[in-house]
Amino acid sequence: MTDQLPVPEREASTAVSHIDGAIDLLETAIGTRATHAADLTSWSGVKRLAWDEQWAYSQGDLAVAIDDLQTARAEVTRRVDEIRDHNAEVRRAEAAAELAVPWVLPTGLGSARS
Amino acid sequence: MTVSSADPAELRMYAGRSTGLLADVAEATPAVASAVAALQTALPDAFKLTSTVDLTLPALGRARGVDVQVSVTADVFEQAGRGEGGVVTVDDAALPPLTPIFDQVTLDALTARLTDELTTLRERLASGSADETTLAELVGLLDMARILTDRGEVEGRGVEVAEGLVEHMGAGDVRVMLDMLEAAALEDDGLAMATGGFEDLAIVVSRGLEAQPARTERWVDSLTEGHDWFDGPPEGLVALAALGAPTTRTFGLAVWDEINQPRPGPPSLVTPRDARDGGLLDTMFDTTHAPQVVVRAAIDRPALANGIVLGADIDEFEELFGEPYYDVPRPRSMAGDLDALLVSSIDPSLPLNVRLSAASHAMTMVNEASDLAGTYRDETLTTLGTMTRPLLSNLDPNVGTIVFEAPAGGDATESADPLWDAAARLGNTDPGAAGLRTGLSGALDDLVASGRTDSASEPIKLETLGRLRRVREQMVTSVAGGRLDAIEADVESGGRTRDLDTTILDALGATPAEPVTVLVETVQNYRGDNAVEVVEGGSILGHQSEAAMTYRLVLANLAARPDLATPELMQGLTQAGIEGLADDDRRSAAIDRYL
Repeated sequence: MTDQLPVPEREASTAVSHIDGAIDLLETAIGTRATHAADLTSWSGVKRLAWDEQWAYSQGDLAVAIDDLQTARAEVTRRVDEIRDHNAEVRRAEAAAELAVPWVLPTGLGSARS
Repeated sequence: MTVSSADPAELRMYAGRSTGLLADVAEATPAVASAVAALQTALPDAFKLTSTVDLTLPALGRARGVDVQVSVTADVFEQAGRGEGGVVTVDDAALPPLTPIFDQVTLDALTARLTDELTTLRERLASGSADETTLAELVGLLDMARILTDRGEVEGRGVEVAEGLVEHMGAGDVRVMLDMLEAAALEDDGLAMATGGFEDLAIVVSRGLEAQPARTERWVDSLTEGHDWFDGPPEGLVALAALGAPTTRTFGLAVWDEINQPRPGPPSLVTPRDARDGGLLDTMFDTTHAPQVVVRAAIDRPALANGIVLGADIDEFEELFGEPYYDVPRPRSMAGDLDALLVSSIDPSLPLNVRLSAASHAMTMVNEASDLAGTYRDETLTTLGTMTRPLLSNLDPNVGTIVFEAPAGGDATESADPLWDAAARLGNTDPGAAGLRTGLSGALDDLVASGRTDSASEPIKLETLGRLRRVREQMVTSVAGGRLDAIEADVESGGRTRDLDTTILDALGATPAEPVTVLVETVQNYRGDNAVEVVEGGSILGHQSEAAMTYRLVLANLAARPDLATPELMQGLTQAGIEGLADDDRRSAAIDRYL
């Protein structure tokens, strides 16, 4: 059989690593921004209220970006798993096919029975 | 002037940390994209990635934008230098502008927070712990509330957001705010700030109370409680009514009704608190006459204008829009304002049914006037004439009534009789006829554009066209004739069976297309007993039946084309048409002239 596929282990590992790195950075950014925004106690006024609002919105943006990256990461690993499943299936099919090969009986034995 | 305060060092620290982190994320992004692309290439065809992530992370741009704004804000505060007590304050106008980005959740959250801020402010005012910064805070909060309701308006939730803001407010709170703003207006440099505060408060309150007329009335009662009307209406309340949101009417109408209550003493003139320059109203509206202030505001607020027109019964309507009575003194300039208010009440920006209601009400007022020309100024008669436009524009020639989309869905209809009666009365005055001409010209354009004439021709449609023609005949000139002809051409182009109207017009034209006998038969068939009854029951001008109308049209055209007046035609017309004329003199004249 020839349809067993190569698993792109190295490429998948690299992609997951970069995605995880981006997620870490975004999570750090969200946390740090939140800490320092809370420290802005001296800033008051209407512009601060409006800024607060947009700042909260942008934090939401970053969280959405993390969700997107996690979705991408999940698909990368799912695809690799699917290839592995496919290959396993191929191997099982090959083994089954091997078992299904008819026995070729020795000529003499057959002749004797008949 | 609204001010903000901050420690620039705090802002710097925030901006430095956050900006660096976001820069790191941005820097990492291409590597993510590159690694995913390499994986995609390596994956076999049947296993390619299907969901693609927007790895350019556009949302990052917004986060970086607001953080950059902190940096710029820090710059401004640094340049301002420290003031007393080490606090740095700057004029908000000097700070970088914000482009609000609100979704529903954040809008709701900020609404709740703003309400809390207002509550705290009110408590401080009530406890007497307000200081010189309280006014600035109030103005700032009102500014923010205005921004929120404006944003809600864009998202179709303006009223909802404003209702949230005023939900926990009482009339007493508004009274406190009005007092603060009125006091600020007296200060040398406080008028601009107070004016902005009035505008913002008016927008929020008018939107918040728009759907709550009963609560609005209670508020207005409360806000005027104890007021000495001998000094005229309360200035702040009038300003609040006049400055409301353009799409609202409830609060403005409640104040309008209140200030127009008959009371002893000098009516309507607000006694300005600031005698130096006439006060707040004089500054903003160039008058201290309270009704004129509201009227001038309503010129730019069609919903309010519409409510004022609809709310006036015959006595109020004539008192308001008619020649001023000797005991109703008002500024001379108010007459022009009131004409403009009538126009505003049928502004195209209003829902059609609302516009039609005001126009129809005005026509009813015209019909109820005992002496039309003696009651109204020429300019007002002209304006009333132009107010026929929305009614004429929405005539359905097929059913002879005014048809429009009902607020609850589906079509609603309204009798056209008041329109015809009013058109007849207005047409009998030169200014009214001039207004009718303008109204009809526009309406005929509207009718052709609507395609409403492009349907099966029935006697009722002919009656409508005949009545439109009758209105045209009343005009000083016949500028609308071309458009009326366009409607008839529109009917003709529909490819339907030729109807009586076009048959007659063709027969009397340069190249008669139909045998005269057909014309006679159609004229005879067209006249019905019911039509005669209509003619006999109404005035010649107001209730011409289609039979009489057609007959008169034929006679008028035959005068120009005597070669068409065959004995056969004239006999048919005699039988058909003369019975349709109720007026003995006209009938005799027709007989004498043509037979």
